[in-house]
Amino acid sequence: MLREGVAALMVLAVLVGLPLAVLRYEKAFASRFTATIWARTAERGGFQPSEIRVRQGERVRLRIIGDDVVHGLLIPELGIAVKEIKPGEETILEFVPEKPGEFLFFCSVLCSPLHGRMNGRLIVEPGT
Amino acid sequence: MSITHDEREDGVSKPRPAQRPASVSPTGNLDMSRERFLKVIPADWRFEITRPGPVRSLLKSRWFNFTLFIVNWAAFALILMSGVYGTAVGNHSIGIVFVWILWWSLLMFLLLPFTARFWCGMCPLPTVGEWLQRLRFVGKNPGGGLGLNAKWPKRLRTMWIANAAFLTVGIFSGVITTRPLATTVMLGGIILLAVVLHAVFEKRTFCRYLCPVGGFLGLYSNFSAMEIRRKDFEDCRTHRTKECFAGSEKGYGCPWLEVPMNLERNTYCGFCFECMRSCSKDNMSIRLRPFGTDLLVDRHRELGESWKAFIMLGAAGMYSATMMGPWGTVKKWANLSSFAGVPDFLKFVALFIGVTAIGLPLVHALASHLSRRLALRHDPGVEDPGFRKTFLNFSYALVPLGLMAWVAFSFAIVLPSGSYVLPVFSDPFGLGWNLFGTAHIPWTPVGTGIMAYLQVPTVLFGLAYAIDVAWKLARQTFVSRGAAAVAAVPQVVYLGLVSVGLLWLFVG
Repeated sequence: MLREGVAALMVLAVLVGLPLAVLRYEKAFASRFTATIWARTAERGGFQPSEIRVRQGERVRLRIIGDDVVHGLLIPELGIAVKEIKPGEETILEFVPEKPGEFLFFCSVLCSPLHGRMNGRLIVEPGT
Repeated sequence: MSITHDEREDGVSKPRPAQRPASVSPTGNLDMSRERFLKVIPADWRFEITRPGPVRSLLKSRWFNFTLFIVNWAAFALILMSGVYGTAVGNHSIGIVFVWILWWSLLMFLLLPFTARFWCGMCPLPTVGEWLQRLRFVGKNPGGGLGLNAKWPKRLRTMWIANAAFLTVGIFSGVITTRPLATTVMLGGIILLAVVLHAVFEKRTFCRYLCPVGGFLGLYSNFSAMEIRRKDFEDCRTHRTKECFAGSEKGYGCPWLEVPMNLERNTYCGFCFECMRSCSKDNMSIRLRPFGTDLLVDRHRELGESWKAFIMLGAAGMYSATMMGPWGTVKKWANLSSFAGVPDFLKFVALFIGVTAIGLPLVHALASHLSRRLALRHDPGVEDPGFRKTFLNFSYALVPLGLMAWVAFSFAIVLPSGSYVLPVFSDPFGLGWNLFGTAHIPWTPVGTGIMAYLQVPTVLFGLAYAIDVAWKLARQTFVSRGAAAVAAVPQVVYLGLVSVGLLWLFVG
């Protein structure tokens, strides 16, 4: 039965432990960023999350992952433009928001029939 | 008392006492000691790879298959996860890249041609069902496990269900091979079905009769350069306990419902090595052999296998046309990007089934009819094998060509897209990880400039082997050498035309 016990542990490690390790690793990896944004066509949900809260004067690191076709990201009022978010690749966007307020961001590449609806809000809260 | 095959009217081998004169050959009137493949390779050449003690011990260890299961489960756990976690972009997802580029290439280039159904001996999909059925992960359970152990209905003991399963997967290939969620749903569905089947039916009923992959692995493994066979007939003849079928304290009776000591073809040998473990006389061996040996075995042939040969050969052509051909419309039909695309998708279904399961068999029927007519006209004294046997026998000549068509098709997958494997190793879910430092290796097509120089010889090798097998099958079917020669002509023409079509699709 020792043999079966060892085998059972191996099965558990692979079928349960490995997926849990993946989730844990991603949690640790994601903590390096202020937020992770999935860029999908509006038909598939658009930017997710579509609302991001950051604090004025603090460095922001956004991980943007393209999940279907090529997208872009534009925040005109902050002078931020990501020209190309390639499908299956991650783009890191770093900046320090200097002024508080609500800023619209949207896709800058004509990506689908509902391209015009692919947008979100960046909320910069006043710094302390 | 000796043990031999039954006539397999019910499709499953059973041990039974019988007299089996050593002179009765499974290849009928073909004397394998005088046959050569491509006029070069002696058909009876064998090399036993399990002779060295360490190799034998390794394969007989009950940990051997389990370790392979665990390694593959590690990959499959991530593959199953990838459908619901991480990127939906196929070429950055482990679910697509590992299954449809890495695994598929390994299967076509290495496992299937050289190791028969060894993949089945490490495939993780039925393991959960089998573990529950045995209530053991590694060891031999001396008592019973879970499950009803019912027998699979006699009428269904053929390859027809596996054919239907493959066709079902095949028509959705445009979706399954590009979308991680679809791959997860398919693999998860197979695992679930396998668990249910293992709970109700005995042993590896699922793998033998239902698995969509198992069907073509079974047929094409008859071409493979490896076999598991008994070493000495006398040892088996005088051994009354039939351990390879009934099991012993060291191993289970054949999970694939075969009688390993009487194996003559690879079709339903799952390379689980249980027969090597259970045989107290150490009389089972693994041997290398020439390609195509089992295609000449004139027993156990069935129309389900013929249709498998048509479907596989036709599917190789259809996939080439759909994925790599200039017909964007057909690719669009196959892609099923939304519900609005269902009517177009149905056109693809009709085309796919029409070509693979209806069109090709009709052409084969015409060639077989001509072969028989010509043979009987040339030599009226020759025994008429009948249309059915002519049709059935010659269908096995499609196996070398079909497998090589798939190998050639697989070059068009692995050379342009193989480089996706390295980034996915480091970033299996497309989340920006870089576990092993390979995440940023760019997509780099390798050797696409010489792809035609690989595909053309591959198809020509398949054609040469198919013609060689067709000639041997003609002599097996019509006995008279003259009748066989004229009977082979329509087959050669038909095989040649199919090959020209394949070459046109690959490099035209």
